[in-house]
Amino acid sequence: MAETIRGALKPHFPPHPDFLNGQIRREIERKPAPAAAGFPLRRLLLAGACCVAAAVVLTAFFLPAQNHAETAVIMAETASPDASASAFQTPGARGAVIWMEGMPYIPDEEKVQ
Amino acid sequence: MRRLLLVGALALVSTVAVQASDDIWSALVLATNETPPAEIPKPLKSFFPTIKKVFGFNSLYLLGQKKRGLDDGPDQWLVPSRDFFFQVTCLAQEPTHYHLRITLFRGKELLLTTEAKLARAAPLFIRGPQWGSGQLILLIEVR
Repeated sequence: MAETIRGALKPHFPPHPDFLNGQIRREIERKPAPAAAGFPLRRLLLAGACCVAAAVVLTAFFLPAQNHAETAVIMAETASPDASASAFQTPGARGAVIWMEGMPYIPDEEKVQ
Repeated sequence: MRRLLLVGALALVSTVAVQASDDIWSALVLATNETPPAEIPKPLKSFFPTIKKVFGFNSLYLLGQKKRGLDDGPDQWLVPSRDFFFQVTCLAQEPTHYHLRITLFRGKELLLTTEAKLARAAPLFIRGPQWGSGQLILLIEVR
């Protein structure tokens, strides 16, 4: 039994070992060198270009909504019962106007700063 | 994948940075009719067509202006002039608007309370009292 096992475990050498070693060495040498550690310049440029492209896309997506938004007055109340306030959109523009009536007149002589 | 996440994060940060830098600008303007019309001050040039169309004046004088950041706190005082000033409370911030409560004072006297949704570069014009032969107009704009 022991003899049988010993016979089976005998190292098996392939024929023409030099040829085989040569093939293996050639294959190792043909493999590309591993990439340099860190963040090479080309990748950095590519990442920068991607950032700019993403910023352009986001700006194009969000900016039109902001550019078309209008100011709107929800409520406007004067403190004085003699005065009143009304609101409306500015014609042809995105702004709004609060029109106060009945405010006390300020004479010329009174300084406003 | 990791690169895509990095790009997305950078773009998001830059977008948020743009949103966070909004300012609110206010001004006190005297509008009059003169012959010949006075030269329009540079900060009011973009407002002049609307003021002329809505209020009917051809000359503007900038009596005071003030700008400050909208993220400085919940309640802010905007003091474009010594006599007229605003208290501005930011009630909510939406992608395209600031929902603001604005109170206008002349000295210690409360003149007006308003709630408005202010879009960027879309000004709010407030017709104030008449002063002499001119009209006081208050401007508020998110920039």
